[in-house]
Parts: sequence; structure tokens; C-alpha cells
Amino acid sequence: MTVIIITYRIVVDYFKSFIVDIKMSLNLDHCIEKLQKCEILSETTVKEITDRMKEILINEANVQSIRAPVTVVGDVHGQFYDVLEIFKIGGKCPDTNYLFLGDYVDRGYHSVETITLLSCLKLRYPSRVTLLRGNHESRQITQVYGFYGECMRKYGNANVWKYFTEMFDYLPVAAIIEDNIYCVHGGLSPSAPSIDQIRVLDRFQEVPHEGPLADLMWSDPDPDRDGFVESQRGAGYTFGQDTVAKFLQINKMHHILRAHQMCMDGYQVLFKRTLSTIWSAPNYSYRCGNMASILEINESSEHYFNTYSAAPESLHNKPQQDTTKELPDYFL
Amino acid sequence: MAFKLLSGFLVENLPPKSEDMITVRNTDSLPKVFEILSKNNILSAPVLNERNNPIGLVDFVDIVCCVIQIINHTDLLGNDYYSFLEREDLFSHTYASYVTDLSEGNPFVPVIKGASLLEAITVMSKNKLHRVPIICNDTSPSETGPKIINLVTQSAILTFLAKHLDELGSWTDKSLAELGFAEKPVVTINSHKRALEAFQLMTEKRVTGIAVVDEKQQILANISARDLKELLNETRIFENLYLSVGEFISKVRQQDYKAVNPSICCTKDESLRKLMTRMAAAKIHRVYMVNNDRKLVGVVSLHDILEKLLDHINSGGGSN
Repeated sequence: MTVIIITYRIVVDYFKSFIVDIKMSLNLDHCIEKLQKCEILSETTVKEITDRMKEILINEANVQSIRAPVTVVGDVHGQFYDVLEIFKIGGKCPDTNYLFLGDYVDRGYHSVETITLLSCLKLRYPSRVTLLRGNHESRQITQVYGFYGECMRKYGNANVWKYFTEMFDYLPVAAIIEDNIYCVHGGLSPSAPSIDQIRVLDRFQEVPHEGPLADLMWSDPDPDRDGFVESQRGAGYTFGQDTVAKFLQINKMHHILRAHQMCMDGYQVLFKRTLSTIWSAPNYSYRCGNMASILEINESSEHYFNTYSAAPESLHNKPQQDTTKELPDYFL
Repeated sequence: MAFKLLSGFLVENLPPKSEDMITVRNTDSLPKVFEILSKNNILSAPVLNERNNPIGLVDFVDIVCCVIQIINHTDLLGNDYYSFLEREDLFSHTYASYVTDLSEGNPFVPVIKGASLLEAITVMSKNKLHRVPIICNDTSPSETGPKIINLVTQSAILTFLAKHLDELGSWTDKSLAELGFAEKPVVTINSHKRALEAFQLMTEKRVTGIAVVDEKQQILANISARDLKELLNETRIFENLYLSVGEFISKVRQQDYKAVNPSICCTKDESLRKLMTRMAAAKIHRVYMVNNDRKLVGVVSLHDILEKLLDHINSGGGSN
């Protein structure tokens, strides 16, 4: 009996080594194809993807340099079918270069599919896709705003959540397009008036509660108040026109591009066209009824806000929401 | 300075305007009370009798108390569907008169119109109130008895103080540690426990909010009676209490489409001034104190701050 068990084990281990080898050569095209049908990948594949993402992201700077033409995308928040719309409107990857400003997960029903697809596209076309970190790319926020719950429901455990939140620590926090458009998820920080200060921060950590990293991901512009004022959100600041003018002058930039705030029209331009907010989640939380947009910047650095509304599938595809698991099964 | 500011400000001039004051009738059912508070985005309201005289205050903590009482009364051991119905029934047939200050944390201790803000703060601090009613006796010939004209809320006081920080004095620039805000044990609940247990714990420990923590004892969010407000659109309040604390918080917080930091914290080195500005900006009454490892070491509530403010004034510091 023992002999049989030992032989069985040897055979299983022999085959296991094959399986490990096969998985090591990750087939990204196959992954992308599967994801585009809104099918999630296995836990092991996700681990492989996030490990590889960390390997390439660790070599990216806090502030990534990007050349035009590029299409900039704001918050998508797990609205997977609307993300597919973006590729239909803005062009397929890698034909179009993309810069995403963060907030890939939470609130929408398909945060897992969304972040997995974007990670695969980044791995497949690393120089065509740039992913920045938003305030939702955080362990704390995802435990409250939906991503953690979705991972538990779709995988039965928190491993995938853990892999992605570890990967989030590696995402760069800002980008500069053609040396004159500064891109960040939230906004400015009173502790980092110079981009050079941002370049030397240690970004490889959970989003802190305060300090320049937190501010970059949480701050909002305020057309009615100058200076930096504590934010109603409980993190970051609101910043006025005077701070924007000063920032652009010190850093020799012409424009600030950011996301983080919902815009009913999909975008908003402020401060005499020196700051733009892009919002790419139409009908946000499946109830706000807003438009969304992506910003297309061409070779001559001209800006075009391409607006769109919710994808038809987004309206029909509300999955069965898991209500209390404690409910009795008298229904069955 | 602080003394002059607070003693010179009349309590009835504190926003919000009294014409907008929301009240509840003693004959209103509990679902109606719940609706009035939630729809108007307020935490509490005075309860009036047939002659429009105030008989007390009702707030979400009282509603929580009532909900816990109903659950204990219907003696739920398993998930008996009929008990859910029974409870909903009891809930619908309870009236404001019963729920008024059910938690005994909400006594009706008023100040008279014309009193100073300093007096209201003193009354609030001494009696550990969350709101102070302002009453007046000048009535029309048809109505008699005291009439309530407004409520002095913690939010209103906090907003006022934050706006006038410069006039409060430079002592607010000192750190929390220097000012004597001590570390103290915090009431916590693990995010995997039931939401019901969180509310039971609040009632038991007589606190209005507790910290939700993960396995590593790091803070995830604050859960308080005001989170019940978001369940207004739910047809069955009781079912949601059987969600885990984590799921409950998730559900409640996602009602607001603007993301906010779910766990606003401070360290003992932060200045009181900065803390008050942050609390007023985020409209919260309680901030958890953490150490460098993000572990909870204490909590600072508006009551604690008012106590320190009064200490400062009474020790003569308020006049410079």
C-alpha cells in the first residue's frame, strides 16, 4: 500500500513540474482574449501576472515620461463593458497609446476583470500602456469600496486581492506628456510644489494617510478658494487657481491633467484652461447618469475630449448581487 | 481671547437657521422617524407633543437601542424568516414617544435663547450631550409652555471653532500629547463579525461609534449609529444587520458617490489646531489615534476637545 502511495506521489510530482513549466510561459494573448469575453483568469495566472507586473513596474520612475500621441483615460472603477467601449472609441491597443490615471477598481461589478485586462495589456505592450496609481489602488480603500468583496465572491478567498494590492504599491504616481502636461490622479500637494520632490519619494508602500503621496492621489481643485485647504474627503487638500499657476511656473509645465472627480459631462476644464479633469466611468455606480470621456492628444499636442455614454452591456449586465449569505434557504 | 469669542456669541446665531429646524411628533411611528432623520440628513430631532412642547430628543443611537431590544425580544437563535417579519412589525408599531432618549445618552438639557455659546458648550461638556436644545418662552397667545427654537449640534460647534481658530489662542498649536490627550483603550470590532454585534457593542459600552479593525488590528473604518441613515432605501433594515461589519460598511459607504477616507486617524504629535481643521472639513466627531505601526492607541472625540477648551478658559488662559 505504501509502495503504491509513493509511486503515485512520484508520478504526480513529475506531472506537476510540467504544469509549473507550462504556466511559467504565460500566454498573454490567450489571457487577453479570455478577459475580453469577461471571463476571469485562474488564481495562479493572476499571481503570475502580478509578479511580472511588479518586475517591470519597479523599473518605472515615480514620474513617467510619455510622448504624444496618447489617449488619456480617467477613473473606470470596475465598469468593464465601458472599458471595452474605450478601446472601441479610442482605438485598439497597441494601435493607440494609452495613459490611465488610476482608480481601476471598486464600485463597479467587474473590478477583477478590469484590472486583470489592463495588467495584461501593460505586460503585452509595455511601452504603449502607462498605468498610474489612484486613491482606490489601496488595501484600505478596496476593503471598503468593493474590490475586496468582489475578489472574495469570485475566488472564494482573498489571495487575488492580496496579489493586486501588492502590485498597486509599484504603480507610478505621475506622468508628464511631451515635457509640458503634468498628469496625476488627484492633484497637488503643499509638501511637494516641485516635481523633482515627487521624483525622489519612496512610492513602494501602501498609500499613506497623509503627506505628498496621499495628496497626489486625493486632492481636488477648488475654483472658489485659493491656497491649500483641508479636504472634505478626509485626505489630501483642495487647491486653488493660485497654486496651479505657481506649480506650472515652477515646473515649467503648461497644463495639469487629472481625474478623481466625477464630471457630468465627462470632463471639466478649469483655471483658464490650465487644468482638466477627465472622468471615464459613464453612469457612475450604475446610477449617476453622467457622460464619460477620454482625452485624445495628437502628435501636434492638440486636445480632443471624446465623450461617450454607458455601453449597452453595462446597462443589462448587473450580476446577482450577493445579499446576506445568512438568508434562510426557504426560497429553494 | 477664547473667552471673549465664546461668551460674546449668542447661541441662537449659530447655524443652521431655526426656520429649517426639523421636528418629530410623539405619535410618529419609528419608520416615520427614521425617514425624517435620513431624508433630512440629520442625526437627531426634538420630539414634540400635541401642544408643540418638546418632550425630549430622538437620535439614531435611540433607534439602534430599539432595534437591539426588538431583536432580543424576538429571541433570534437561527434565521427564522418569521422572526424577521415579526421584527419589522414591531419596528413599524413603535412610536417616537417610546424611542425618545431610549439610549439614555440623549437627555434634554436646554439653554434659553440669549445664552452665550460658552454656556451651551459648558452644558454640553458637563452633561456629555451630543446636542443642546435652545428654548424660549415667548409664545403666541394660543400656545403655552416652552418652545424649542433650535438645536446646538456638535457639528455646528466644530464648524464655528474651526472657523475662528486664530481667536481661540495659540495653545491650539500644541500637540495632542502636550495638551494631555491620553492614550486609552478603544472599543473595536473585527470586520468579519456581524454588523448587529457592532451595534450591540455600541449600546453595551454606551459609545456612539466603534473602530472596525482587520486581523492585524489595524483600523479599516469607523462604524457609528449614523451609518444606519443610509439604510433608508432598504426595505428590510434588519436583514442588513446580519451582514458582516465589513460588508455593511461597504454597502453604506458606497451610497455616496464621492470617495472619502474611511478611517481618518491622527497621531499624538499632531497639533490640536490641525486636527480640528480636519474634523470640521470631514464633518466627523471622532478621530482615532494611531501609533507608527497604524495600531489603535486612543480616540479623540469632540467632547474631549471641548473639555480641554473649557479647562483652558477656566484656568485663565482664555483671556489672552
